[in-house]
Amino acid sequence: MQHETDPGVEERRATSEPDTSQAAPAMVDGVRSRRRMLAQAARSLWAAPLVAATGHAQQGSTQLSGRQAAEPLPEPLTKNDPTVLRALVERLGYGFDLALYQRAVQIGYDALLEEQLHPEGIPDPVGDAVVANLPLLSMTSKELLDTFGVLSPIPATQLQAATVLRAAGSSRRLFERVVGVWSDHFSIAVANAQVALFKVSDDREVVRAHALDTFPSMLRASAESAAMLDYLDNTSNTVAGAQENYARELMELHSLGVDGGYTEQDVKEVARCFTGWTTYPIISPQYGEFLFFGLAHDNQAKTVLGVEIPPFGGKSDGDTVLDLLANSSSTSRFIAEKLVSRLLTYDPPIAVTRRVAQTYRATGGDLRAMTREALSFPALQAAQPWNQRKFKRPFHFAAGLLRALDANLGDGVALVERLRGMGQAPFEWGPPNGYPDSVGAWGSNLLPRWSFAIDLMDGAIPGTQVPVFPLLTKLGFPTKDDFVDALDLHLTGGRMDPSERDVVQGYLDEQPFLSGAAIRDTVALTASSPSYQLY
Amino acid sequence: MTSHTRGTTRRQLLARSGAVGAAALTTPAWLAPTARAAASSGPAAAPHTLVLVFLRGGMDGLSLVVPHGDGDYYAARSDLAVPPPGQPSGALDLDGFFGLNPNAAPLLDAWGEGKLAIVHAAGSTDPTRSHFEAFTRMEFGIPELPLGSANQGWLARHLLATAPAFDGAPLRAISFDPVLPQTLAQAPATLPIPDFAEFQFPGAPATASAREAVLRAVYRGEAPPVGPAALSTLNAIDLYSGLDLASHQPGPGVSYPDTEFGEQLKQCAALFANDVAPEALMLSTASWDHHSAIGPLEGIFAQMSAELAAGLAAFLADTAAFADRYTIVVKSEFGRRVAQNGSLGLDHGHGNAMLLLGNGVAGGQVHGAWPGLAEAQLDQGDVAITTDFRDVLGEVLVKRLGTADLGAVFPEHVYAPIGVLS
Repeated sequence: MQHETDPGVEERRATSEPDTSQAAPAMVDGVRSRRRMLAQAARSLWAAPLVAATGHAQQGSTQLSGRQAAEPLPEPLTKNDPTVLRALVERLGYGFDLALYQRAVQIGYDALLEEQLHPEGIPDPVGDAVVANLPLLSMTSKELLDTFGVLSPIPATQLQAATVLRAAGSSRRLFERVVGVWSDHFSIAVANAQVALFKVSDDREVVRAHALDTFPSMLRASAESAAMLDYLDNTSNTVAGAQENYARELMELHSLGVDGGYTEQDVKEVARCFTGWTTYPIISPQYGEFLFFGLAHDNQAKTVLGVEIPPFGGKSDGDTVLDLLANSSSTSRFIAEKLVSRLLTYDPPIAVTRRVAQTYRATGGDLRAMTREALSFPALQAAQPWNQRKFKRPFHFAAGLLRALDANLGDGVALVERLRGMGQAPFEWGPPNGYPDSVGAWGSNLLPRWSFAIDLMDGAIPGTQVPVFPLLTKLGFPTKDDFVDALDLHLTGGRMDPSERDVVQGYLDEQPFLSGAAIRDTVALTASSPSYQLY
Repeated sequence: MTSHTRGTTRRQLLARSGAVGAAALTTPAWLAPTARAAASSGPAAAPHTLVLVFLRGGMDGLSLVVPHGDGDYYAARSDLAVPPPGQPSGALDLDGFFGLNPNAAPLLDAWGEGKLAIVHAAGSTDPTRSHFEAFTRMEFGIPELPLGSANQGWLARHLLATAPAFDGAPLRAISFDPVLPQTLAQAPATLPIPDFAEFQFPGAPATASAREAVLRAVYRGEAPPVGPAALSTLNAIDLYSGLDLASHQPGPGVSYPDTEFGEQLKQCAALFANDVAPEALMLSTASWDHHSAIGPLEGIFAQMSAELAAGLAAFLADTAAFADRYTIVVKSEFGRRVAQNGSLGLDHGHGNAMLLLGNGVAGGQVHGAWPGLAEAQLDQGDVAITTDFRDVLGEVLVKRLGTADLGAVFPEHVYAPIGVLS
């Protein structure tokens, strides 16, 4: 195959000026024009053998492209353009998935999005197996206590492992993705063993139960979650002395946002409203369940966000606050911003965020509707994620790579350890604001990813394996010359920068033949390349 | 010394990291401080490293550096106060008014030797009581400006405004957190390296050289921060992995706490011992956010301050030979409320203690004006601030790290050092 010299390479080499903005835009400026040029250089039909191996011989404009000769990119892009479908598929889970892309081609953008928005309708053998193999995921806190004791590290470890296994293997890809978003939003650290034990229920009954339900219902469930109440010290918030931690983070992090219009006085008043919101003690058969302890409640009148709350309201004081917060337009904006920036681009157009916020207000915070809006074709058209790329966080990178390579995952425990090394083990971010999501936070910690990729391929991660023969089968038995292109089709949908591809292929060209070692190294290098770190 | 890492010798490692010539084998040439660019730097300074320790969550300065001479302290904290010196579990007296939490006893030697300076009632003029807002404004060095006014850490701005102090060094700053702190956002030649034991080129040695070449090529020209970070990573691996920093043996009698923080400090000491310490090292410890059951004498605060003190003392002892080469600054985003809350804990506060350690500090003193803790003297119930953190950091930058124009580092701040360095 003839490869043209990539005109983008020279331009790219010139790019290295320090930028003055923290987030992606500066990174993208250098990337954007290069990507556009390369996208232009890469519009052509892909070779038949690969397509046949994956079961769908699709010709025509929805065909994923290789790296070849130039036709101008039609602007604006249509809903069935490969660039658009690829960007959608990358956002419907962690990383590109060729089978899902082909389903997008088959049933169209909207139908695929809708399908993924209804996870209950998607058979999920991997997810079912995770639940079946880890009965503790379904246990109440009391059952966990009786089975493991309060100091055991097992509940946390298994929950973390399950999270990785689901992210890497569940068919309900969008569901796992938004579960990740709301887990970060209502972030709880499992450093404390009791909080970790409670977090098993929280994960199941707060986050997973409501991720495509309504935000107000998730907020209310979180406010009554033993994990959250313990983690943010609300169990010590009593009329004898109010304790502000939960009240502050409820407003700052969970609902209104730091600029959402509350004062320090509101923090104190909200804390008073939540006095008595606690959990059953360890000796109780209802250990881990929410308990409103009236004797600890501050029964005097309160004023929150300008609203008078009369005395002797009991638990309804806190319920009133939750309603106020859930119904606040600040909340609709803050939650919309969170969802759109996590799923779409770092700095999405205001119009997109506004529409999602409007959806919140029009539907009572329906997260399915908001997610649909955030990933709708108009939203992608406006945000142009193919030009405004995001940098994959370690969890995203690892889950996507494991899935794309059909890795055998074992029990996932060793993978959690590797994620810890990359800085993003599930539920281990200490403060309640959740793992950050910016290229500034993650973009300079590359070595652990390079190590992960090569160790994964070399079988050096206990319990985890990428068998080479099934991989070759999946790739359609490419020749040595075609290997990187074939691999890239599966890893990014053919989006790899041609000059990066040339360098990696060049490495493979130096190997005498397509040996197991050569394949493993080439896969690891492709997964380590800049192209694979972006989505 | 020949390194057997990946079949390269130390000479090759140094050559690759830009050192001058084979003579660099015993004394890396890049150690010699450069003549700094005249326009952007002050007078040429001896090589110096800022070791920044960020206590995250709001460390309670009143429990660490106890104002035992202030009656209002005891009135506000009937259950949480550290008793005065002489009483059981009493504070260790420092200057007749302030004392150290007894769990921080390992720092007393440094105090006595003049290697520990304290600034109390220090902090940020930012009134926020939110951790996350406080972090952002403090770490971007913009306590009084809108949140969007800056996207770079103050330390990044310092590094960007000064020429590299160590010619040819692959890194100018290292953070021990896997997520780069905002203090170092957009800092040049800066990497997170949580553990030097893991900082090795991965995969089979036989193919390492060829695979490294691939990574260099594919990341070349990639926009910041990713492209430069990849290059820095590869250059730094070439240098550091041959030095086996993780197996540094502490000096006789030196014992680091058996914790992640202790391990990180030990690796910092190893950097000095191997003459490869960069211009800045940043460590964080967490969480100091003690809303309930703070336990200043026997509980969680006690344990954490014991670990902090033991770690710092061990580091000082272990790096005695390089004691002129660094200044340690210990700080937090804010202090905690003066009055205790209903759960034997403390809510978010304002003014706090900062610590400076090293040979060049004006040690054995508590600097700054004490505002007092009477109701009328407090800031919304919290310790008022009489020393701006920027003046403390600024003094280190100007007098030790060659910053000529502090205005570039801390915009819209009038620098008024209080003399924490000797």
